[in-house]
Amino acid sequence: MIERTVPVGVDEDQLARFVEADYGALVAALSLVCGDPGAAEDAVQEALARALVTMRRGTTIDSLAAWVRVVALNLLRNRWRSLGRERRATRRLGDLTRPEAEGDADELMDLQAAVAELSQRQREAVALYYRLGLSVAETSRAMRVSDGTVKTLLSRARATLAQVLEPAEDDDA
Amino acid sequence: MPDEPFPFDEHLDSRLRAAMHVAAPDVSVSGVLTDVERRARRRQLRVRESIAAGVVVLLGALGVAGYTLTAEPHLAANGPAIRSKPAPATTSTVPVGSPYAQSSGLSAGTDSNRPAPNPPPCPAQQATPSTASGRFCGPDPGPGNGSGPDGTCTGSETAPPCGPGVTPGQYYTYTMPGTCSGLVTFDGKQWVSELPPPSPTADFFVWMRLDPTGSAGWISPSGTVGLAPYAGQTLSGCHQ
Repeated sequence: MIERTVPVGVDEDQLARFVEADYGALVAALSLVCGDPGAAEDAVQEALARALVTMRRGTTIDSLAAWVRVVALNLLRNRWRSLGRERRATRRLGDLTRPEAEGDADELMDLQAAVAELSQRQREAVALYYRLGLSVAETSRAMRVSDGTVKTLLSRARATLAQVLEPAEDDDA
Repeated sequence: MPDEPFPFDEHLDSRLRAAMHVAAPDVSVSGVLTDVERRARRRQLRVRESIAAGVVVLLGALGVAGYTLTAEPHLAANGPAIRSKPAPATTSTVPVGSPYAQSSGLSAGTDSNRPAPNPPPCPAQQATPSTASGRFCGPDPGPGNGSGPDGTCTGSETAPPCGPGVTPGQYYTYTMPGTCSGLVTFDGKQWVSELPPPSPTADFFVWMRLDPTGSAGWISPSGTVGLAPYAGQTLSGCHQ
């Protein structure tokens, strides 16, 4: 059992609330980005640990969720680059995702396979915007790029993904 | 949900959201918190070890350079002239005005006259900088290649180490700004020093490295300090 000592000033409830409300969704979103749920969870936990250390040093983190998103995404990016795994992870992505939503399973899997073929930054934008439900502004802050860049990334990703969906749309018509 | 006007097709977007809705893992809140606590403790321990290593390096090098600690509230120098910035040289020297000496808890003159611990000597002709032996060994760092004063990074560089493309594990010469924010640009991103200088100081040269785990840090004859990705947190500033 780990002894837990939290100095005055550290809002432990803030961490618990984040884990309860946001942790799972962020891990799922980053899994979409990197194709490796283990790596995604590792990045989020490491980011949380850094947040805890930061808070214990007396630094206030205004939005823990936003802070953890940025740091976890940075950690994942560095990990991909150092291990040269991005391409392999991309290929595996389609096998690792499990859609919750009901609907045409084949179409969902095709779509997720198409997501795996997007560029890293497009996947990040798509995962944050569509999976986490962030706004364009929130996505741009998490990715540390401009709103315009996010819109461009989303537009291009969407155009690619629409090609997967188009036959279904034709069927509906 | 998106709150900006963005020309998306609602039907397509709802289908994309459904497809993106990868199941979140089952989470045990207490289990995650325990893991996070364990990681935080490990991280704090690493920072302390870095600080301790910096102190050992300083004390060891002080002995080499001929400095002696006295009970007076200042360093008595029997050796070479004090410099505020390490110059490119082949031997390790300690800038007494090292911006991290005070941050590391080494307050000049607060210790007794005990002799400094003596780390093992550096291997001859060591080409790669290292602090593994408890003292800094290897070539002294030179200035970085940033386009700012002294080679500092401005954020506009496109080549490493200021710009993106840094190879993890490789050391880069880097000009560390001595500002109180502790904020630096490295590998195209902003980082914040885990140990800002005690007061504003002149820029100084270090060996900067991106750790394969995603953290970063620098080593130099004046110490070892870690960097954390800057994510908009409030900066602690100089510590007096």
